Amino acid sequence: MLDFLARLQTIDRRWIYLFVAVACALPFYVNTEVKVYVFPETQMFFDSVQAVKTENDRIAANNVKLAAQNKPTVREKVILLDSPWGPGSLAENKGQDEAVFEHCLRERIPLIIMALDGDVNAPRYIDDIIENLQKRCPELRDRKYGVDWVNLGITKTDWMAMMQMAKDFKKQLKQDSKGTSTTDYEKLPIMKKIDNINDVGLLICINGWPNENYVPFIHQQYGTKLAFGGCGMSSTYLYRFIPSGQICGFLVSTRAAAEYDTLIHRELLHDETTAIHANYGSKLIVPLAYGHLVIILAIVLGNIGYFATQRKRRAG
Amino acid sequence: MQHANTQIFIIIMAITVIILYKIFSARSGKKTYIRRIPGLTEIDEAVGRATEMGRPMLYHPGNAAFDSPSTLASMGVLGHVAQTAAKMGSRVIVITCVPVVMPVAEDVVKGAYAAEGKLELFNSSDIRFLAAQGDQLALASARLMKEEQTASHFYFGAYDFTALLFTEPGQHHGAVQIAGCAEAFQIPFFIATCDYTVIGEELYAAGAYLTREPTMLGSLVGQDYCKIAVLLIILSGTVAVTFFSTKGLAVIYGLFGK
Amino acid sequence: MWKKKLIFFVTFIAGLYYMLEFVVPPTWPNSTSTGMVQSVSATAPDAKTKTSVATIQLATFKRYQRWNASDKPVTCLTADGPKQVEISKLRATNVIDLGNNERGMVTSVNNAVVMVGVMGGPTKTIYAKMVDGKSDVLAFQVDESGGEKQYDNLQPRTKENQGGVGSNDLITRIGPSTYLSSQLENANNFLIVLGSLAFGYALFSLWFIHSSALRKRTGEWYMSILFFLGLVFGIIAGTGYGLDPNTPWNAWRLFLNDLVSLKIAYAFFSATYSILSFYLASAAYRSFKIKSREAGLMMGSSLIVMLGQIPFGVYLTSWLPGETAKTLIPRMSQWLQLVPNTAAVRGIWFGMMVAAMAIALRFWLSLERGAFFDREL
Repeated sequence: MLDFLARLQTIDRRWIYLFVAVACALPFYVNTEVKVYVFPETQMFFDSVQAVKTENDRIAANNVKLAAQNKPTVREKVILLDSPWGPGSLAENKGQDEAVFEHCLRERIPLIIMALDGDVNAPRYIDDIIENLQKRCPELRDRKYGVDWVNLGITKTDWMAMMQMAKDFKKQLKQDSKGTSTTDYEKLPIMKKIDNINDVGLLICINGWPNENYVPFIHQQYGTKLAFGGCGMSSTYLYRFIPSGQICGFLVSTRAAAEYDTLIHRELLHDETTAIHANYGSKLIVPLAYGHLVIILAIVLGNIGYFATQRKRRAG
Repeated sequence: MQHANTQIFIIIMAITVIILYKIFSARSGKKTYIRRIPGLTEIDEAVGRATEMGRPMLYHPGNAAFDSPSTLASMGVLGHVAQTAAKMGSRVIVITCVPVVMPVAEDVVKGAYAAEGKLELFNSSDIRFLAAQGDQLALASARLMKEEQTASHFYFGAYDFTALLFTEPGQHHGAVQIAGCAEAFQIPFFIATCDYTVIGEELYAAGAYLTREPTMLGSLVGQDYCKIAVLLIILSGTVAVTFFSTKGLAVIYGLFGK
Repeated sequence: MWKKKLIFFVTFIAGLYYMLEFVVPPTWPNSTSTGMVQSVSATAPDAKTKTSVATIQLATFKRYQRWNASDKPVTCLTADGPKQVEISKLRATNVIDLGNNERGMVTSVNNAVVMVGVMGGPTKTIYAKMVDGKSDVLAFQVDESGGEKQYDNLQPRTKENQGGVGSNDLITRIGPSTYLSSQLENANNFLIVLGSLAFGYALFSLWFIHSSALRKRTGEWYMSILFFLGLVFGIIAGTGYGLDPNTPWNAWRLFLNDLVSLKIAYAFFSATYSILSFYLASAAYRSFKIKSREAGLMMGSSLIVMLGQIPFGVYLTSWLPGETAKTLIPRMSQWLQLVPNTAAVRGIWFGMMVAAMAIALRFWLSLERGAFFDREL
């Protein structure tokens, strides 16, 4: 028995690769439903986006009063989303992007999307996600490009771009991803709503490793609310911004995309069914879970083999 | 905070003064002690192993350009590895995915070989720009390990998510692997797959440790004094909030059941 | 020797810019101010150059006080006289009687934290040069809702010019905030061009390596042919983004762009990174052994964190009584990441940043030993 247990330490790595592959692939063919637990940081992220909608409603109501008094009206806030991820972090960031787009489009929160120092194809991925979202959700088909959202493409260069955007947004982002000037308000009426950082109600950065320079250059300088969406590996290092209040929400990996999707169904659509939603993250949560279990199992087997070997050595 | 304010200015000036004072006092001849860093002392062993086996070594200076201090520190380590290799008469293959690093790496390695009087052993085609991205370079390096049968691998620099893609094939290849990375989120992967790992700021200390150059030693000591100062400020802040603020006192009284 | 001196000079000037930009507090006229407008005036614009100068007398605050929603109500001076108001009901620009002949103005209300500026600070005179009605001085008016609206111009507010500056307005962040703010756009454009050059540099390096491999027929030189074919294909496909699909010439380029970015790139790059999951599994299996007490502690915490990330962690404790106990593992996982992990990461970052500062200092002052500093050029 001890011999058998000791051999558990020397399983060929190819068997482990096979188990991981099967564990991740099987859920795509075998329909499994799971109920996700919504972490507080995902809830905070959702609430922060919803708070922009609440603020915009209050501004709209206030504007009616101001207009009646012949006073200048106040602009509504926009959400600025930096989405520079590439296919390397596709599994984690695509679902997060999709969930945020769905929330903003459903609640008609003006959404300005860009990619700061992004992957060369990042604007294309954004277009693709919104296209598929509108195909999946017929009620979102009346949301128009240039009115409800705009894709401003890739811009450079890190903190200097942040400083420029904060002071004069259109000087940094002169055209959208297809070459239309951002001062062409006929084609892009949404661009009337943003001049500088004061018009941004929430700045979101969704990337494999969200750009930490937003904290000192935007949040600390201007007080703009900041939220991140990152992959699991980066979460260990970015969790530190939550207790200090520097970010007001954090989406961690694929599971947060599934949780966000659950929140959209629960709080916006009032649909409490546990059926797998069509969000990318919701589809991937089950393979993720099984993959984790295989890794835990591999660690346990390796340790059983290790202890058995130690015992054998002591006995022999 | 709108911008740099007086407090930030004072702190940065204090750090600057401490570090500069220590640098100049080290340069003036004052002896400084730094503890043994295991990963760095094993570099010579790894180079010796490759020389005995008659196989080349592989060096990867990270995936970042010179805007990252880790890459700068890596060049210091590369100089030492190249010099040791030149002394023992073996080959170092340097691979990179950052174009600007290539000429600097070539210059460092060539300089090291020249310093040992073994310029004829230097081959410029051993400094290779194999791919434009880290993940593609990792695939290329796995191939290179097999083709060139490298015996020792060195990974020092700034790494993103691709660290494991470099080191796991090397582990299976059976090479001795030494890694150093300041990005702490990649360190667990290096520890799992490499024989020796230089953790966090030990990478920045590597240049000082290997060369024993007074400027670097002095800077290292100055940094440590600054860290002690930061620690004292954190402790005093914690004590102040715990014992001298209304909320802190309420917590303490609560602990004593008052 | 002169080359070394030139490098030292250029390095020092470059570093000096960052020092001035981010370390040294900016002095007037570049500093930022918050205060109440006492008076505003502007000269008539020059007929030729269209420049004019606005003068704003700003009454700044001598200090700030911070109130929480749980603090006692305060006396607010309204148009109808003094009234007791709860902290949570205060709005920006409300004037408060602080007692001791002091008055304060609410400058911001943020998540139930109220900042009050105590009046009586020094008066600042701001001169803002305007060209064709536009100034590079940024000034924002805080309104009752707490929102900030940038002034259209810094002229006095009149019936015709509602976007101007009015007396008793609460202004924040007047003035450019850094020494080189007016040059920010130029500096940024320079860096954009530099970044694009670096991208081109990578392309040239690959071109050089593969073309020399082709010329010398070294190694697997036929792979270099694939590089050039891929390069041409990628360039043509890249031009297809955002085109009108109705034109025949554009339609196939759009198709190629979709093929490369959405099909090939998605599959290839995500597959490359997915190798990590397999390597991770084999590395974990091989090296995560409980060889000591510390390793056991680490193993326990990593198991809790891993189980917390997946729904099965909730299923494991779903049988326990009480809502809190049912989600025990995710809560423990979150506590581990928010408390001990945050402390450790902050500590690591302090150390790393001090070290990075030391390296930056050595390079700025050319104290670093390296290729350029210890031999003749």
